[in-house]
Amino acid sequence: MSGYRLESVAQTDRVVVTFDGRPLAARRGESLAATLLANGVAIAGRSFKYHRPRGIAGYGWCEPNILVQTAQGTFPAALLPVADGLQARSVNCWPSARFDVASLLGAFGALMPAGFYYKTFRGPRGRLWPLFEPAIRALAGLGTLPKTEKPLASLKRFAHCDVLVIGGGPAGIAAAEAASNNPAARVWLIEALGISVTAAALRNRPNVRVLHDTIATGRYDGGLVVALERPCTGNLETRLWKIRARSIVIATGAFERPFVFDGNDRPGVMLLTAVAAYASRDKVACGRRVVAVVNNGAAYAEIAVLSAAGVTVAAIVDLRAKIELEHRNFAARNGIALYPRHGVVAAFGVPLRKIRIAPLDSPANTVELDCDTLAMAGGLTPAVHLHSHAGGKLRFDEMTAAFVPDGLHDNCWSAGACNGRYEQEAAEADGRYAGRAASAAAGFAASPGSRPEAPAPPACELLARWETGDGTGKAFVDVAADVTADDIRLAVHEGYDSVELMKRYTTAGMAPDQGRFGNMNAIDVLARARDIAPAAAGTTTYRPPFAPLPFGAIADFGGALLKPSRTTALTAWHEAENAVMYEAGANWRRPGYYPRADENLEAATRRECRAVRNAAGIYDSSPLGKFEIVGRDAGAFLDFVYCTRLSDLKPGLGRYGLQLHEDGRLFDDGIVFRLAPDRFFVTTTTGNAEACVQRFTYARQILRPDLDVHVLPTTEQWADLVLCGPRARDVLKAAEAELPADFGFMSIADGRIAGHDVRVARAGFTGEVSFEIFAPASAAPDLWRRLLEAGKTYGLTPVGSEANHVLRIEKGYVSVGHDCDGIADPDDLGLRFAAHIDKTDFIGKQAVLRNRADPDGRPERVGLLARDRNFVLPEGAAILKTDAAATRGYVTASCWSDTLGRSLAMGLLEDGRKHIGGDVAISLPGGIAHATVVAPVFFDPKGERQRG
Amino acid sequence: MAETTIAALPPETLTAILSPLRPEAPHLAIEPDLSIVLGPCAPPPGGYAIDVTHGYVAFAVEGPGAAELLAQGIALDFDRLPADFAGRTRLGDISVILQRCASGYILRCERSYGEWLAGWLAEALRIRLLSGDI
Repeated sequence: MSGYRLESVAQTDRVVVTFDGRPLAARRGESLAATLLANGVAIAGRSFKYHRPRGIAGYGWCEPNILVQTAQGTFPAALLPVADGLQARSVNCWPSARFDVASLLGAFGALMPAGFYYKTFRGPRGRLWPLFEPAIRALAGLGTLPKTEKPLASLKRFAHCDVLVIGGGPAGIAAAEAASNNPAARVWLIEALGISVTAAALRNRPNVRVLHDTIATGRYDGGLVVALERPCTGNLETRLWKIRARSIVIATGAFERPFVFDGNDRPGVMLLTAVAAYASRDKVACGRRVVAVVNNGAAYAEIAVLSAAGVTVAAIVDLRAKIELEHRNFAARNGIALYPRHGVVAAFGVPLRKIRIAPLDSPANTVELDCDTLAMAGGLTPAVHLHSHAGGKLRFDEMTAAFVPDGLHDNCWSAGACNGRYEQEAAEADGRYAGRAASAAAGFAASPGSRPEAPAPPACELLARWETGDGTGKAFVDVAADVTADDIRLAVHEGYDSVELMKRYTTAGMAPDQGRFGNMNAIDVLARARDIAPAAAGTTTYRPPFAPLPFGAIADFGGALLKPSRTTALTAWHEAENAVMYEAGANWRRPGYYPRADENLEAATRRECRAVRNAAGIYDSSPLGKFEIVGRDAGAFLDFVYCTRLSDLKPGLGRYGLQLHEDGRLFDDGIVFRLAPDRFFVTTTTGNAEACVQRFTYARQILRPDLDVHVLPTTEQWADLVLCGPRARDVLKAAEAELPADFGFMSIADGRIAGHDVRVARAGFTGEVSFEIFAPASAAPDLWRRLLEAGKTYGLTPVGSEANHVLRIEKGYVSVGHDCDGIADPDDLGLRFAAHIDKTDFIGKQAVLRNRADPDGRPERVGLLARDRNFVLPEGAAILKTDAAATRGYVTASCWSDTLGRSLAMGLLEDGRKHIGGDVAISLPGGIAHATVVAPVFFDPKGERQRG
Repeated sequence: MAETTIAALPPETLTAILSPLRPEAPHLAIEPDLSIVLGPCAPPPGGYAIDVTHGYVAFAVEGPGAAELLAQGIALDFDRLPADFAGRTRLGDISVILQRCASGYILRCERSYGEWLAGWLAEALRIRLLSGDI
């Protein structure tokens, strides 16, 4: 293979690129594949599995072989436009593509048949895999991730149009023209790389937008098409389009089909359309002596293109016995030797030096032909991927020996070659019809009438045969995945004989080209191995993406923007005070603890706990879910949604309430306050705040539409500052709080603190006197600062979620996220007091009744005191009744309590309350710990401190 | 004048009106029975008015490229958006209230997402500038 340029490159377009360290002269904007061919680089990479030498075989998206590494990542060489200074190197080889040490693997090819990774590495346990693993991992994969930050950006863009035409060939252009006749219709046309042949008629239509250098990678339900634009304008690397269209025309053309024979992967063996495209579009001859092998008459048009471009075609090997007169004359006129009824048996040389051909009916009579390029034309395979992605059906067309779309699917028409209409006139007629039909479906045209009939069988018939080798060497059906015809026959022999199983067993179609090169030949070999028709063998499921998508194109913005995060009004203060911030569910970030100099997590947590128990603490509980539930039937609504009776609450008071799943499990908890007869203020957990919005809405709109009630989430309106501890009242007094004189436990009232209007509730999660101060979020920073100032003399200390965790365990409070599993109901959790089963109805009532009827064996919440009081049991550890017994529960929450001078834990234990006073074993990695089962309230069991 | 500008808007008074009847005051329709009114508002007959002034932050995205910029994260068909459109939609993974106005769009989000959204808008503008589309 010795490619060269058919015409010189204009001075202004000359650039120099480097491949594997070798400088190459290039034309600005051409693909790297064209540059490699023009410079005679025959071996440009190594194959995936056997590390066989490979060269360029296809054009654009049809090129299966060569990926290259650049500073920006790994790219298909046929899709990488060159610019001055581009540096690329081959992948999957060392030290170079020409000489690759790993090609020794080819000698052991017999040990790596299809599915070898399912079969090997067995043996003495634990001995062989560690030996193989490092080598296999080092050999696996193609290319490496860039080590530096990408210099270019990717843009994602939603878009809408009325008619989307995918494909800029004859059918696509005709469809876009027909669809855009009504100027009100927004018509978009997607043109793939190298197919920029937009008709002049479209250029002056303002209602037509053309996306150049863009490939549609997937079609989804509802008219959604995802498309990748690359290269882009400016400094963009990619632009990912998510286009919603009211109707779609798919005109994605067809792929050329290769032949299967020994050595059909050698550098120099290419597709005929690719050899013609490099010659006609890039003015690059792939070789100095080309032989074409064809099984259809249409291929002669491409050979004519080659000849016209000045490429020497030495011979045509035609599998057919009966060759059209015009094609015989063409060969004679151009001095091309013609071999009718012959096929290629084998190819030789690296790069290609010669081929061996033989008559199909007399394989022993071989002839050898010298050539440096073999151009294969095995007929066309419609690109039905986009049709099938969203569920479109296929049928097998015997005439063209290919699968074609079977009818309309979801306002989506296939037209032209991808619909089996290969000849230009038929493709254009098909495209015009599809364009009119799509426009009509989108409401911009009258009915398109009937579809043009499929043309009569073409004069140039196709001989449906592709495997022509003698079976003595490696004949590849999928060069990208290194899958041979023998691999497929082995899969069938071993029982993996359905097309889906064959695909997974052999990996045919699973390489970066996603089977575009070899899928039809894989199906053909499979069908013949099973002695069934290709139609009966069927196809695998087509799934997006049609072409590889860079991660950078899919991912959202990076860094802190990658995932939305939520800040409270006090986040800036927490961060300024060096709080260690935790992710707290629902995208919130909250302070875990506030370490002072030299303090670690444990020390800071103990200090903060001591402050709450002995003086005063304050924490930012703003992420807590908050709702206003209003309306004449608000009480009845809450009685239905909560298992707790709430309709009898008096204004100004609150009650701890539980929400259950339909199956009785605890869904959420919180406090419900009544502000007025028709108005409630509800708090929920942080993590379930959004789920509560959905639940309240569902209950209101679907389950109880009879109730007059409205729900308003107010989580964001209110900051929640919780002041707690025995000196909390002193702090409030110092902050000039104006609150009701008889402000008892579980009360709520409006008031003023430090000059700010606030809503205050006497509730908390620490077991101490607590004031939940709900302040308008904008006022929170000033109020927080003033409270800290006022509390200085009382030891007021900011407290994080770590200390909160300890304080609530000491009090035995349930944390929904920690202490509930997939079974526990309110009774199990010791919250029976909050489940008012005598209410007429509530969500989960029947499940709770059922559980009460069969209470044995339920997981019940208990306290656990480790026998070694200094040992903190690990959360999640299994609880065993005896050292060797089966698991009976697990530790849900555990901590060190400075207040009690020992470790504490809670857990869910089968029939737990019956075991209070007894001992259990806790399973640990490498051992057992023992603990005593106790009631799950360790501190102030009568609640005198919080009521005080 | 820049092609697209982004500006955080000063605090504004917002009132949630809970009533199936739409208020007459300038409002953003959010749910079947929920409107956010710009400014203070008395409750309608049989309805409720609740202050939500502190629950939202707002950004103005203005200029001829405003829709293109927002289309990086919002899946709406901006070409067909009514001139007086206002409603809840999604920008990436968060819920926003989008309002179309004469000079472009006003984007409101829950206060807690304000910092993230400001960063998102700035990055979207940066990438738009890189794209050369302007």
